[in-house]
Amino acid sequence: MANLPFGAMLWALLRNVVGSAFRTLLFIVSKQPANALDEMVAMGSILVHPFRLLRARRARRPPGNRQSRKKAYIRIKRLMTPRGAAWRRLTDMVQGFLAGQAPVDSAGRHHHSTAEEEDELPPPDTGAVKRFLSRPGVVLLLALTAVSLAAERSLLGGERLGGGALVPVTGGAGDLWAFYTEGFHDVGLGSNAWAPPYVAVLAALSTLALGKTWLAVSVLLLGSVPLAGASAYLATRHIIPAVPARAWAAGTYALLPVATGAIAAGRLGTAVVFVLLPLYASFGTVLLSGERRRARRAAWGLGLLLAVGTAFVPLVYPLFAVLGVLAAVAFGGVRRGVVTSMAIALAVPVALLLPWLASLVTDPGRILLEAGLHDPALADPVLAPESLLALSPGGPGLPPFWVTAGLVTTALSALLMRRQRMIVAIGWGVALYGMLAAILVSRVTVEGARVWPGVPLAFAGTGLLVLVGLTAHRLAELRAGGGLRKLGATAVVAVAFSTPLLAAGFWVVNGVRGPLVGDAPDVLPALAASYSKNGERTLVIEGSAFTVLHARTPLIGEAELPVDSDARTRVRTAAQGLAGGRGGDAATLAQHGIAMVAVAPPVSAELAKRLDSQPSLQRMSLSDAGGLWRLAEPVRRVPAQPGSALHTPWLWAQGALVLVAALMAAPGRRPSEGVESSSVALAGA
Amino acid sequence: MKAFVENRFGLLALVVVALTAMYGAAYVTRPAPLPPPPAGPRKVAVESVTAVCPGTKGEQVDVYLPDTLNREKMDAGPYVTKGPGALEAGYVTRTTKGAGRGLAGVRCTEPSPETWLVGPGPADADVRLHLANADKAPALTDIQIHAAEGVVSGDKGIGLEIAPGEHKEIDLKTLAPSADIMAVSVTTVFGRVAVAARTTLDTGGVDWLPAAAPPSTRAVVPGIPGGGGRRQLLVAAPGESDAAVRLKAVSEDAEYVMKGRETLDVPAGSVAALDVTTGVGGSSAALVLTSPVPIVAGLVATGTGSRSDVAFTAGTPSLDLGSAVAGNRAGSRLVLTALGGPGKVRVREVPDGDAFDVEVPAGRTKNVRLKAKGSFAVVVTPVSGEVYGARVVEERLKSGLLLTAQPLSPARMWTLLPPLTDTARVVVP
Repeated sequence: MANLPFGAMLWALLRNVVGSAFRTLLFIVSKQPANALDEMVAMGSILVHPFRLLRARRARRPPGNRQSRKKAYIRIKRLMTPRGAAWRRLTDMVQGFLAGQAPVDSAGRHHHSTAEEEDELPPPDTGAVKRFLSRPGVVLLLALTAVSLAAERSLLGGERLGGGALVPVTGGAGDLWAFYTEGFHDVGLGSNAWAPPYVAVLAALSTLALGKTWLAVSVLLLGSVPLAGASAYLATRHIIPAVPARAWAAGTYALLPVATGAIAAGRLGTAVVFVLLPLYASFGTVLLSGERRRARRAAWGLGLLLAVGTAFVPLVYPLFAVLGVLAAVAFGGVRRGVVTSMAIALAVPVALLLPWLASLVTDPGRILLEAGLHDPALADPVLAPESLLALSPGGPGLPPFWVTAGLVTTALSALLMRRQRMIVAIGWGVALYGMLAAILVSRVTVEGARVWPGVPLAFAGTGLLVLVGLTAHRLAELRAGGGLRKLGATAVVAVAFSTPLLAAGFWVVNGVRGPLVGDAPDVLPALAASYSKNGERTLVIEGSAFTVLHARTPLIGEAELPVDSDARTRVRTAAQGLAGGRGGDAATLAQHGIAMVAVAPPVSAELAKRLDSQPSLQRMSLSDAGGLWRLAEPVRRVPAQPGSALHTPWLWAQGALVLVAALMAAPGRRPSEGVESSSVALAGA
Repeated sequence: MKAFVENRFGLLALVVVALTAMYGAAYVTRPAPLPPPPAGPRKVAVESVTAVCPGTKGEQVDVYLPDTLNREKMDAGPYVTKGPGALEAGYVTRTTKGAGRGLAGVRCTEPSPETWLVGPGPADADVRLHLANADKAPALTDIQIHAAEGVVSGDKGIGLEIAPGEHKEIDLKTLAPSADIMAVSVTTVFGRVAVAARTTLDTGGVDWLPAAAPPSTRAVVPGIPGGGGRRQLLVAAPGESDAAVRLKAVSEDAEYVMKGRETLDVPAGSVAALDVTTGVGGSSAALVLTSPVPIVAGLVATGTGSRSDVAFTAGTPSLDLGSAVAGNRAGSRLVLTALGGPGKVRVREVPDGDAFDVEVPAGRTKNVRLKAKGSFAVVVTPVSGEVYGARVVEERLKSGLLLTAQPLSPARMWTLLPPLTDTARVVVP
């Protein structure tokens, strides 16, 4: 900086300060506090002694006129590193982080290296973008994105995504955070229950998505197929060595009928868990077979991800816990610390979600539900056994059940191999476990609707895919031997690839056939919303169902808040009386804070007549877009019930726990000795 | 065991067995596809009822509540009473001299958004329409009069505003001076009104018009009193299409189609009259009308004697929920008709009287004498079958027969509420 002209010096100063601060942060996150301190001291020494810099500049000033420093700078500028180099280093760092290295791999304090590295030839310097696009994982991601966009063409570009289990998405990240942290929720008939924890996850994701909830939900739900493919590809990097097998496994996983069914029905919970499942498998393998420090960090990371998954679909926890306990018992003798790691992984979700899990225990049916509304039309009440065995969970938006027959057949044929029996047995064990859980779950009715067995079937699919992927290299050996073996191997490959291709084909051709739409209409008339300034509620009647809204469509998660059942029964009786023309019910409704009655289109003439003839109702509007009546009674404001006193302390504790778990899970310095391949460890056990 | 697992086909066999077992388990536990249970309307007790009658100064109105009967004095304005669901109120006035000679019985009705009245028109009678608004909100009413030529009231009856607590008395001669038979519909745009009409025939006789059942494709006019005198059926076909009405009479002896009166053609929007005196042959009867187009029906019964009295009855729904008549006196009887199958009802006179069962043969009409003294209320509860009926009061004087009839309208004890479920699925499309 002593040689630069003044303007360039200021810019260099700013760049260096920001870069130093960033590097300090990265050193702290990657658990190298000594290096962080070094960095801070280095930068501080320049800023604290500005006179040293001034003296250096005066000493370096070329003789003659002042302009010559600038001229000299201009001459040598094009020889210095180009501007893009800093960005290139950043992308390299991000890729390295995703590959498991520490973000800043320093060579140690005072440049002391523990191992001598041979001089390697620097790799050819292709462009970063070209390198990025030619990786098979990226190609797979782009292919899955193209398939998703083609299949979801009817959902894109709408104003409001909603339908099925998904309440039309409204509000921003701030609204979701307020909903999660407030003690009394001023919605519907008022509730002081605690918000479900998945709202916090969605709020965090919406904050990342620049505050737009619809963006976060659209990416999570509509982009669940490419995201699942990416997560499956990344997760199998240490499990399945061969790249084509990895790509096939990731593609088939992403296109499982569970994913297409979840998207068509608006099941955000299943979509999120579907993306997280391969990460569970990957972290689980590291936990069971990595070296101690890595296994411990993997346990914390797995605990965090399991907490996120459980918040969306509580069934994930018992399903995973059984497998985890079995694995810990099986591997506990082989390696030290596996039992402790698994205990950490299973305890973190419980600690993070304790109050919510406690409320689930008192109402066990809710363990089988997921985030979002629970509609009987979304699950097949008479799910055929062949669908269950073919990993097809029933409901809208699915391809024919035999699409996954290729996968099941390939997995069955893998049973015929003589080697690697252990992997095959474990994979089929997980698959049978998932199918059994799916059968049990799909025969249960909760709150009037059958449970959708999507998550257990995703478990089963993961088991089958991992086992086929791990044994895929045997196919290459079979093909090397000629004649019948080669024919057999080619047939197996064709059958295996039939599943993703058929699934993608059916999905793209049929589109998303389900209740999820891209432009869900707002059921609350704008006129009602404008009259709700003082907390007036609106009773919305649609067909033979009604609900009570406060000025806006409910946020995600608001519709699942439990409400005092006495108040609900009274309001239900009053609403029935109002719609039946009984008389005297408007007073009851007004006592519960309801000031308006809206009827969604199509409005039957009989209902309109009955509401018109009610003495306390005045019609405000009636048209093809619906009707709105106002109560002439004095409306009592819904009283704010005091929230629980434990709520705010619990929120702080939860935040602190998340921070602790994240810090414990973040990868630190990569150890210098070689890391055993976990698949080798698995095969040897 | 180890050999089994080491065998190439061992694991495959194990897995296939497990899959078959799960298939079997899933097959066995598969529920049969049930059609969803139809969510029908459910019967709910009415909590409170308002009964409004036009008041007659000096007369007393009978108010019936379960097991009690009270009498209250009335003023000139409308008489309003509120009570629980089983409330019934009404009165019968008896005048033996003058222009308004006759028995006139009226039932206090609940304010309603739609009321139909069928009877003789202003050309032949003095018809006074009483509208009362007993609620706290204003009501905007439209009065339409259908006559033999169609809708004759024009715009004069449209948009009549009645403030809360206000009542209006309208002489229908101002709305339809030339109609000799009429059907009046009083509908509200908002709010509710209680409607009653007092008809005094030019040829003698007075009575209040009973509220007819709203337009429907099947109408039953019960309670046609037996005895001499003219019986005239009036049928209105509101709406856009002509009605070809098929008639059937159900009398004390038989159920038959009247000779020469099998059908009645009613032009769209108008009223047609048919003399059924010889058709019912002097016996107590009911008429069953079916039509492809919704119709409203009423009947004018004239009593015998040198000075005649008139009684009106109209299309009425069946006694599903039970019925009661509050104002009765000596000379009352019930005229009950069972359609479709034999009917049985339980009749009780309040305050002094035990309940007794009455069996009505299928397709027949039966008269039931009510023997209580003084003024009493009668409660009719259906036990089985589809039963229609009316309460007829007759008094034989030397100058002629005094006659009034009131159809047994369904009590307001129960109401059918639509099933509304509370669910958040309303917000999703």
